[in-house]
This record gives sequence, structure tokens and C-alpha cells, in this order.
Amino acid sequence: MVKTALTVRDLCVVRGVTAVVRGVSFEAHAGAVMAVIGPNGAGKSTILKTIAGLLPYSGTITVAGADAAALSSRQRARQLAYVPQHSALDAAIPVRDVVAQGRFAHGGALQRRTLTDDRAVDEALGRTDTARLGDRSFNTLSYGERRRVLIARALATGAKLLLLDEPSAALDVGHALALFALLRALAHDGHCVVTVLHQLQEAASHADHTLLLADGRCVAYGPTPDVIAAKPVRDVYGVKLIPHAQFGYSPAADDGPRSTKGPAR
Amino acid sequence: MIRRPTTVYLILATLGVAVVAAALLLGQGSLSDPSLRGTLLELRATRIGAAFLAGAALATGGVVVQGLFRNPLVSPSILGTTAGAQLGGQLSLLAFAALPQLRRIPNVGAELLLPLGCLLGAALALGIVLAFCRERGGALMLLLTGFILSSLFLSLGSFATSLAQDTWEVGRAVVAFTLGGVGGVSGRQLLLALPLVTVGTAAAWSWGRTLDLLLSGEEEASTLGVDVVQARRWITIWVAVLTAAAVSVGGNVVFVGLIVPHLLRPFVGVLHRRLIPAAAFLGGTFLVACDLLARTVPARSEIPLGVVTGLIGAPVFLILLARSRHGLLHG
Repeated sequence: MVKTALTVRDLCVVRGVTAVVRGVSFEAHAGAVMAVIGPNGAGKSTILKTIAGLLPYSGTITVAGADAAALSSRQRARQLAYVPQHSALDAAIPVRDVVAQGRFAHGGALQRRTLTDDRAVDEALGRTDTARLGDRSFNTLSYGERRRVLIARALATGAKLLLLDEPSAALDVGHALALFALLRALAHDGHCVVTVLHQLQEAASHADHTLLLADGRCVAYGPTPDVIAAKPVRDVYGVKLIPHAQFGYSPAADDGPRSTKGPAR
Repeated sequence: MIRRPTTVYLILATLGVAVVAAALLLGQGSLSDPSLRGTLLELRATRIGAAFLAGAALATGGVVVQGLFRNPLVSPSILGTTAGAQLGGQLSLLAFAALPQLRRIPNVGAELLLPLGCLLGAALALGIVLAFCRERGGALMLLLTGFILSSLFLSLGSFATSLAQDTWEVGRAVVAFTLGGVGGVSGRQLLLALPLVTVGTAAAWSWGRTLDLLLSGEEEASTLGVDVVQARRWITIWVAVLTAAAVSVGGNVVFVGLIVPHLLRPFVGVLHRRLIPAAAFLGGTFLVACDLLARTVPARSEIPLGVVTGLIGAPVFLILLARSRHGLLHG
């Protein structure tokens, strides 16, 4: 039986005097990857931020059966993890400590780290291929390395619902494929992954379900092959879809998909 | 690579012991005279205690506001918090003199009202800065708001000082407090400041992990489980407590909260639970050293403590400003 991890009903978000999300409804399920796509300014990132509790809204958001509006910051952080497109973090914090920040919502009053916290951090570092960066300062990392560390921080929260805003932006092809393999593995482990993507081919290749937005409204929602189809794509983007285009890439056949490792350096 | 702070703590401890020993042994009056030795040591120990507490409080406050505002160029004095605390202290002295009802309350003296006035003044100043600047204020906005608040509070303080001149004793007390320094601190004042600094520093340390998360910005910190509104409120209160304690025993001592965190970060890193104890210790040691300088440098009279820290701090602050010019221009 499919378990619903996230339910969004009639979501409306107003920023200033402009309605940027208008009556969007969808569901996301445990064990699946869901892509949110649409042209610039469609409201993709706004929807993710709203689910993460960062923006006021009308409508209902239900996370693991609980009304998101009723959750405290800590309760929400244990249920869902959010990785923004651009992190404001630029401090000389050791990578391991950045990832350990994901355990904050599990800490007591004094925030003493436990063995469970250490294990969660180790696992998150391992799954994102960032263990070797553990002693490095975060502000000395490349953009792509920072992205992976922030995903590790999200994994360390132990939340089953992961919200990622353009996680593959600025990643090279190898690391982007490794990232999608990781997202697939996480879904296989029972996580629900909701990710904003810009590239239609990434959504087509890696998402089970897709939500297509335009002007803050839901244009199409359902299994990815039904959404990334000729008509919706032409209507929203004004382009003609060419299925099975000649140019593409996949993990090297002899290596199989790299779920945790980056490209050889 | 990030250095392990144990060595830094050991160096700080050695430095602290050396400075405190020098501050006990050096100064006007000879310890070789047995009839003066006890009195001199007691006076110097009180000064050392007051300077250490004020320095520890200001340096800890500096670390905390720099984390809260995600800006290494702010400190309680730059943000106008110390000026606010000073104004609160001046007004409390005036209120004590003007209201006979206050003087009739048993065990309530000006010494008790002074920290309370400082606390209210510091909290008001920090509240205004937070309301104006918050997350997206930018460095320039923060510095300008702090400058305007400092100017306003110092002007109001001058007005309060002029009002105090109607009565000689009150005028003298307000002027002495305004000039700052730890020379006239009594044992009772020290006992009042000690719990404020201890509790304030411990509380700041306990908010260390939250401050670490706030380095990612309030939005990211919120998604990781930080109740940002509550955190901001409590951290502001503890900074106000620390600043009030420092000002009540040392007056308006500037730049300590700015310089000390900067000196330490390259050696202990930016994590607040490592930085706060080191800053408290170095801040205390630094102000004891400044006080030693203030009372041993040949001059017609003792140099006010705030003058010494200002002479050292102003050039250091200018260097920091020059280094981060790009960051300032781009908010």
C-alpha cells in the first residue's frame, strides 16, 4: 500500500500583493521521487519553502498525517528536511559539524551529542561521499561539494520527507548522476523525495511523479510520462518535445550506477 | 584545517595568570611596606576582579551579537548597546537621587539600581537594533543604526549628566560613572556583577549550537529546528545582561567585544561553544591588562579605562573595516 507522506490542498501563497501560488493541490508518497517543474517564476521554490514552514499560506499542508501548521520548529525538522537552492552558510565550520547541525531537533536542552547523533552523521557523510571532507572548513569547499554537504545535513535530520531545491544545479554530470542515484536509494529506503528541477530530462529520467506549474497554478500532475508529454510541455514552455533525443548520458555500463561515489579525480 | 583549541586554552590560561600576577604586583604604592601591603592587594584584587568581569562580559557579548547578526563587525559598543546601558545607569543614579521613596526601601542602594538601569538601557538599545536590522539589514545598516543609537544615547547621557549637576554628590557620581573605569568599584558591586556575568556567559554558551545554526541564516536555522523568534529574544536578553554587568562595573568600555572574537577565531574556529569560553577568558585578561596600563602609564592622573581600550580598539576596527570593505558595500 502506498503511504502518503505529504498532502497539499488548495495551497495559496501571497508575497506582497502578488499571489505566487494559486490553489495548488498534490500528494507525494513514501518510496517515490517527485519532481516539481515549470518555467522561471512558476512558484516551484515558493511551494518548497512554504512546505518547509518558511512562508505564510492558506490551504492545508499535511506531513505524515499531521497538520504542518500545528507543528513546532523542532517537530517539523524531525519530519521534513529542506535543502535550499542557495545556502547562506559561508562560515569556517568543519564539515562534520555542519552535518551534525542536522541533529539539532533531536537534541536536549544542552544539545549534547550522543552516539546516535554520531552514527547519523557518519551515515549521512558516507551516503553523500563527503566523509573525506569531514575535517575541512565548509567555506573552503567548492559549490558542488557544499551542495553535497548540505544534503548530508538534511539526511542527518532523519526526516523521511526531503525537500530539495534544484539539488543538481552546479554539479558536474558525474556528481549529478550520483545524486539522483542517491535520491533513488533514499526513496527505496522509504523516504519521500520532493525536488525542484529545471531540466526536463532530469525529471523525465529520475522522477516517479511530476508536478508541472505555470504562473503559480498546477498545469499537470501525475506519473512523470503523463506530465512530461508533448502537449503540457508545449503549452507551458512553448517548445516541442523530442522524445528519445540523440544526446544523453547514463552511468558507465561497466561501473553500474554510482550511488555514493563521485567521479575519479 | 581547523586547529584544536586545547593549546589555545592553555596559552590563554598562562597569559591570564601572568597578567593577573603583574596587575597585583605593579602599580602605585610599594608592596614592600607591610602596613600598606594588605590594603594595596585588596584594592588591586577588586580592580582586577571588576576588569576581568567587565572584559569577559563584553567579549562574550561580542561573540554572541556577531553570531546573532551574522556579522563580524558588530559588538555591543558598535551596536549602541553599551551606550544604552550607560544611559540606563545614569538615569538610575538620577532616579535614586530624585525619588526619596527609592531611598527608603531597605537594602536598596544606588549600587543595586545601577545594574538594573544598565540592563533596561542595554535591552532597549538591542531591541531597537533588532527591530530595524533583523536578518536582511546588511552590515552598513547595522553600523549606521548602531552609530545613530550611540549618538542619541550619548547625547541623552550628556543631558542627564547636566541635570545631575544641581546636586554636587549626584553630579559627581554620574560623572564618575560616565568616565568609566574600575578604580572606584566596591566589593558589593563586584558581588552583584559576578552572578550576572557568570549566568550570562553560561547562558550564552548554552545557546552556542543555536548560534552556530544561525550562521546559516534564520530561514535555514528554522528548518533545522530553531525557534528563531524565541532564540532571538533570549539571546538578546543575555547580551543585555552581560553588557549591563560590564557597564555597571566598568562604565562605557569600547571595542573589547569587537577585538577579542577576531583575535580568537583563527585559532579556535567559529563554533560558539569553543569560542565563548576562550573569549570570556581573553576578554577578561585583556581588560585587566588595559587597566594595568591605565594606572601605570605616567600621567597627571589615571587614564580612564575606556580611553585605553579606545586607543587600541579604534585602529584595529579601522583595519577590519578596510579588510571587509567589499562585504560592507554589498551588504
